[in-house]
Amino acid sequence: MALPNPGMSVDRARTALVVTDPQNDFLSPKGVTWGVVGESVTENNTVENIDRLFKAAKDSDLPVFISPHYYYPTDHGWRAKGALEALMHEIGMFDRSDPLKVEGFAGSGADWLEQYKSYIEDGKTVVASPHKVFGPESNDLALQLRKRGVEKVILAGMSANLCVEAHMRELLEQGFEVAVVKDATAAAKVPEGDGYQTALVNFRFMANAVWTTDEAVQAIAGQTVGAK
Amino acid sequence: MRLIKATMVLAVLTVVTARHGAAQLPEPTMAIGERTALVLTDPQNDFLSPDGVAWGAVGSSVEENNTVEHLEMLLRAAKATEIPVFISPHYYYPTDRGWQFEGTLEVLMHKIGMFDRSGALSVEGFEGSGADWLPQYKAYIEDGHTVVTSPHKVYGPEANDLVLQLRKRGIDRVVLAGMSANLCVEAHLRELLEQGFEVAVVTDATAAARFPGLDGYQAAMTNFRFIANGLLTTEEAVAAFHASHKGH
Repeated sequence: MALPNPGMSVDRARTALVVTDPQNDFLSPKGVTWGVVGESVTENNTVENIDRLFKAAKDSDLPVFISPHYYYPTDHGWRAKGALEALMHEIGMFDRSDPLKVEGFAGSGADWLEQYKSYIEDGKTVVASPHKVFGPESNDLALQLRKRGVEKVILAGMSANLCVEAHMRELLEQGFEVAVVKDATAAAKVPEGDGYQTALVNFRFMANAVWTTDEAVQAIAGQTVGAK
Repeated sequence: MRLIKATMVLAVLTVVTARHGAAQLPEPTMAIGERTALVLTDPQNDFLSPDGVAWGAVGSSVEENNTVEHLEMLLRAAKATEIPVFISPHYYYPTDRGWQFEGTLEVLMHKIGMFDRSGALSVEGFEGSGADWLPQYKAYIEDGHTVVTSPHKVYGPEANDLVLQLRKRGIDRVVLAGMSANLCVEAHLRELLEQGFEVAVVTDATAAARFPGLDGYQAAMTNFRFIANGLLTTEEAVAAFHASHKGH
């Protein structure tokens, strides 16, 4: 039984770039998870590839959406957490001081990677409210996409088998087409498993298309990728 | 400040490592008993019967895990200990063929006619079909107590009434099993977590498709370990159901 290759065409009036968690705690060597994700980020050249996607999208006026990850002090009152949630809370990942305060935010682990700020803070990029587990079920990403007539998503960001995969899965359930950019993401490698290899299997099983950054940049520029 | 945090990570990892040998990840556990339900996805012929349309891709994993027998053990133990049972099935109707786009496995499922039914309100040809329950599960599923939700249409319970049915019965902890590991089981795990449930996955009461270079079961095992509230074997789940029932 061979796997089909559905492919996704980029109709620029209905397509957006969505990036999850382009934040220091994942992508900066000073981030609290660098010890487990740094190797994968370095291997994939993730920081640069996400930058190339931002640049290509902005150059082509393709809408860009960010789904960030923040925890507030009240979130530490949660009773039940999965393994990675427990770890994230233990290490203070994506912690902010308050939903309505940005004291200490600039340059913190929860802040954008410095080099992405000119793209994200251009007044056009839509920053959704934070997701609170891994997926966009509890934020306004799907609403924001629909309000702009977006039906197709080019997806990248961190981390591959957690928030990126969770966004792919939920967007598919919500009736969007999703192409995942496999080298503009990365994941934790721990003795319990290789998050990146895992994500590649599930991207291939479930997404409408799996592209490299080169292919995504071509598609954003209007060239055909991944024949049906 | 960031350096201090990084050092704290190392400290945390060291402590965890000391406690659990090679493990770096926390090992949350989930209590089983009050407010707990057994949820099974897709206990249907197309996945679990050698005559099912997906057997060529999933059969070896189903046999290795002894999935068919393990699912029956879970059903039997849940019924014996009054743990509520919920089934989230997978059906496609002729109108679903009007979908304009699908991901890879959706394309494949539609191509091979997986879980096809003749209509939303028709059971013509249903009995014994790929969409029907595995025969040995029928006594448990058709006992008048098991809740059968409306079908999921992609992989997760986003488009059916599973979450509502669980909440209507005060359930906030789910023991999850069924088919297939990295698709519907993992999609249910993820969505239930997002909806605020605790979820423990029964790792040998599921199985998944294998294609060259792509092992769905191994992928699921990594993600279960990363994100679930607990991992159980069938034997452990059965023991936990019985332990929770003592004194009732």
